[in-house]
Amino acid sequence: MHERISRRTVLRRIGLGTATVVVAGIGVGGYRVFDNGVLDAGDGRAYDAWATWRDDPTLLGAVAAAILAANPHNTQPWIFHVSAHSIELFSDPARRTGTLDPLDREHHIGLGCALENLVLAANVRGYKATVQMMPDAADATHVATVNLASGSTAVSDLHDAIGHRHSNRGPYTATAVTADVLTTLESVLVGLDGVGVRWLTTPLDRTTLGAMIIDATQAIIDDEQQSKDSFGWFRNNRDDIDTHMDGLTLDVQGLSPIVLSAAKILPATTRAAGDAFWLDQTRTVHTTTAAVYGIITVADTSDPVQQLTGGRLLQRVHLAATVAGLGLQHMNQITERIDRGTSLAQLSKFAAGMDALLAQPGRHALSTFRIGHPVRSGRLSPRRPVSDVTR
Amino acid sequence: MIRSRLQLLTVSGRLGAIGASFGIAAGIAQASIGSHIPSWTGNKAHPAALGLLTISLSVSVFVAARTLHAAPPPSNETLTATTVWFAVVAFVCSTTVGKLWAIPGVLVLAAAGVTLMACGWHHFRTAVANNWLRGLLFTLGAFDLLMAVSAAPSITVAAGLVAGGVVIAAAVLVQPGRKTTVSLLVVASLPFAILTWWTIVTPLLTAVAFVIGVAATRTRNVTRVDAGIVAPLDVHSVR
Repeated sequence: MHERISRRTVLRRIGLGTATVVVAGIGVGGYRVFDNGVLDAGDGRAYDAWATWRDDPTLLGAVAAAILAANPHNTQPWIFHVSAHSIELFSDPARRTGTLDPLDREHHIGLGCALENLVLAANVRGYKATVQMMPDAADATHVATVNLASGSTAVSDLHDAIGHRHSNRGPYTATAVTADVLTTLESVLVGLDGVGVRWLTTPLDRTTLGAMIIDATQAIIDDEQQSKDSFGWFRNNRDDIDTHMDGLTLDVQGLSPIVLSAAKILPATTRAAGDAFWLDQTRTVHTTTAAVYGIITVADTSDPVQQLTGGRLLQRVHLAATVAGLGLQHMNQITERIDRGTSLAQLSKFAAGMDALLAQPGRHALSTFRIGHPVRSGRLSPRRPVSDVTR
Repeated sequence: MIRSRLQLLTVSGRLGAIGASFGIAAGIAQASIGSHIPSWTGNKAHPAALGLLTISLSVSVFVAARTLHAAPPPSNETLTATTVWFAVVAFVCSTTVGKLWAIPGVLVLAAAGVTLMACGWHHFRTAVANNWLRGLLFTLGAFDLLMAVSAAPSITVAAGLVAGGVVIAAAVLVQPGRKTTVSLLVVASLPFAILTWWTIVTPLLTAVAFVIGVAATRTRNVTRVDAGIVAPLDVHSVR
């Protein structure tokens, strides 16, 4: 004989079951919030460098400023040797991005960016810094020596902006960047030989370059090895960030708070999904909201010295843009495809297209970026501490 | 049988106390030198906060373990709550101090198992069924606490700790007709939910805690933890 279950009991059990499922779902979400750093983005050891870079008045403090420089995929490809009267800057060959940068163009640009921060920080510490690039013909990893002599303290807005500079991959507003602002950004060129900036401000130029960037993004995605090499530097969860303290993170993708939170709570993205997201963002956000494109130009894009000097200029422009309240995003898909073609001895359609857009005979695009008034502030990227990058 | 139950409680109490002591040591190590031994401590972003959390939870296990074989004998509902709490702590701390939790984790889990044996599966099931809503509420509070310790800045951490603490307190205190408890619960949870609205999880948690709290105040068979089924245990008949 079966016991009769009342309707009230059935409803109660359904209610309890539903509540249990809901609480379990919240529990999973809550655990992901805890485990993936949803509530402490930009906090913790991986981000300490941004808060402490001014604390050390010695030359190690100058290195603390250098490690906050822009660099490709946040690989932080640097090693510093600090002595009483000089700082040697070395490239870390283990921190390359493979087929994404087969000719070390971006690798050296990133080192040039660090070099610029190093010089600014040395000047603030009362040193007159003299830079010698590629000082050792027998050692290609020894990219620069910064000789330090006694000088006067040179405080600058660019130095003060070091801790506020971040790549901003979010949307920019429709507010125009005026010619005066571009002139100010260009004024930082003083003292850097052989490099220049070309601004693309007209709708036609911006549309043309935007379309090329989208094409190049698709080409990178279609090139499996480039896609893998790019994804290899993506840190999908907080444990990876805390372990490696480098790479690209969800935090720096320029997402709205609610979308960023959902992205962190949901399961980690696959390479294919990441590529699709990148292409979509490039198409719908990065290229469509770019107020102005800037292109760093040099005569020979394969010359390490010009790459380093171009990196110094790029860092100055980025710092000056930060001072002016502008957002800046590095967009090097086109040059990545050009170098990939060169490394495979294939002619890239992007090289001719870029030269035509530049319209500066004898000059070539070293690095490309967009600027504009950002909708949201840029977020911190992880950094390895000074102790990890000094020898 | 009675002697066996007491013996089991003695064993679980000792296991829990030893495990908790190791856990406290692990928490101290995480809080003090955690960043210097990342391969042992799980390479956490906030070793100090997680170390303190581990210490707090381990102390709670230690206190619960010491009371297991104290007079008067614990009720089956207390044993059920203790079993669940030991298991929760064993799980949570496995995410806070890395490999350092291996030994205390095993000991605390073993203590949970022996406590369950002392309680008896039937009594455990009955107590769990009678306190299901209370358990859900407690779980929500525990997740509030877990999120709070990983948060920044300090004001958010404080709001989260208050929210979690009050939801857990409400889970323990909730009684039919106690609408004030639910009101207090919601008010105390709101600041954390508002400060972290963009996570979606915290506002949802607060809303669900409110609904469950209301349901618990209307459910007749929600009983106080310490007023549940007491096993027929005569302490005078054992030594």
